[in-house]
Amino acid sequence: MKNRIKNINFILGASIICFMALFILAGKILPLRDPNAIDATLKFAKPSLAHPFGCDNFGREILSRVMQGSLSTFLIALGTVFIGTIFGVIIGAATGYFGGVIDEILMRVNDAIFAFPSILLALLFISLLGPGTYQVVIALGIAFVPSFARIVRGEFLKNRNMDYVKCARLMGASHLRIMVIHILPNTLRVLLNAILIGFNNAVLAEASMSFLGIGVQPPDPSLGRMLSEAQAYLFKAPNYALFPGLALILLVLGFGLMSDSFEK
Amino acid sequence: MNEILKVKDLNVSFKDSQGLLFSHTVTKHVLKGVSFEIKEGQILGLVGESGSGKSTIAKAVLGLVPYEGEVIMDNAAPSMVFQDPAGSLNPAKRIGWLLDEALYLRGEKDPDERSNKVLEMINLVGLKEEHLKRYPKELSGGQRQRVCIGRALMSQPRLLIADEPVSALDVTIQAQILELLRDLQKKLDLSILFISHDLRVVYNFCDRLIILKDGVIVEEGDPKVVYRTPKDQYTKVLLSSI
Ligand SMILES: Nc1ncnc2c1ncn2[C@@H]1O[C@H](COP(=O)(O)OP(=O)(O)O)[C@@H](O)[C@H]1O
Ligand SMILES: [Mg+2]
Repeated sequence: MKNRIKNINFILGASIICFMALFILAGKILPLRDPNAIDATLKFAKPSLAHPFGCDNFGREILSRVMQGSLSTFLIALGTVFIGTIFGVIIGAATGYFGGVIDEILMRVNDAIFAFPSILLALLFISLLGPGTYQVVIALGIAFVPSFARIVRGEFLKNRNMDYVKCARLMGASHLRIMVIHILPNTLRVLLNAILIGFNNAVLAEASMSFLGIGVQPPDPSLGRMLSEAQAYLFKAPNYALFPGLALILLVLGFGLMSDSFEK
Repeated sequence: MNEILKVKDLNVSFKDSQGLLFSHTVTKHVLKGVSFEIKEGQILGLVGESGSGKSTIAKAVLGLVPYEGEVIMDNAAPSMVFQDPAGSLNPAKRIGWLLDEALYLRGEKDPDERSNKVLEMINLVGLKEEHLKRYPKELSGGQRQRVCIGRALMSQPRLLIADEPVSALDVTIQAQILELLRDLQKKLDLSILFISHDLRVVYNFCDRLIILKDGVIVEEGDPKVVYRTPKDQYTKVLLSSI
């Protein structure tokens, strides 16, 4: 019964993400208006057949902007999770497997970083790197490393004392082989779950940062950017905030449902 | 008959730190002057209660713990079978892969030759080719221990060290594994150091028996004789619990 619910969660989540992927793809394929093209005559155009999501305060096509914005948000989340996973796995695997002094030092640093909300940390990095899309990816990526490292470390710590590792050692397997070929596959389930949750957090973090104006720079759209711009016209043009908000909710919901199905 | 393993005056001690606030290190002597030998083609039973130092003997022989004394072996390294077959097999790998790795790590480069040997071994330990595609969790406890034994034999060792290899198994399965070990010992002319905390398991299985108590060998001899006329008080206690 519980398993069935989990499966349904996964299928539902995956369908939502597939839908969003198709939606993003459609933005690249369909001959829609340029997301940054301004047209004064279309200022605040209501949703219609010609402009399904309506137009914004510069007469830009909200549909193409939501599509383009979803793509930016998605790519930033992807980059963030990629950096977090790669470095998190390397640090977590090394510290969990070898332990000792390096482990102590790295984990204390990790704990210190972990104690800050990742968004605050990312803000700190941005203040050093300056605003911009790549800077956001790097800042969020670094901010995400500790949580991945902590999870991976725990798994390696659990596995390194198991008999199968001792057997491999006895048969002459190198430490690197044991870490990569023996232990890593056993952490995949937990890691995958962490990646999905990470995606979720990254989507929200990107949106928050762009909302604050330090992420994706105008005129390029991202979901957070659009929400931030739409805020001023919430009553005049509710569709302006509604559609990017909806896209954001779908992304978060999709990854959330998928990661739920991995919970033990 | 030649000795395959000769252990002379083996001493092992561990340093333990005790106390939280004012910690001081205490040296714990785990093995105190243990001497024994295993002859070619012999199964030596090593019996003692939990904590008596049995596994430490195995570790010392394999060079996994620092020791004082002498461990003399012919050059072929011994292989090891552990108590918990489920924990000894990587849950993420298929049986075929696990057996193959033992050869790969020995530097055997030809995959076809390796897979022939794997097939040979899976049959030798009483399993079938189809088991090679399975994951450890898809086998029973007894089948898993067969895989562990097969993997240990992949390197064609002269000596097999089996540390409580049947203690985690049901009684009926225990008998089957013991029979397999006996069988393999004859076919491959193996020597086996068979460790157990249970005298029942050992006494009509091995050729010779040593009984360990608190890191000291208190009795040694033919298992039937030890069983009938135990000399040491401790052996009598072990026997009375049967
Ligand atoms: N690495 C170690 N450090 C400290 N003490 C150890 C270590 N390994 C074993 N011991 C101690 O040595 C004793 C014998 O252990 P072991 O050889 O595992 O016993 P057995 O296998 O007979 O149950 C135990 O008291 C155990 O606590
Ligand atoms: Mg033991």
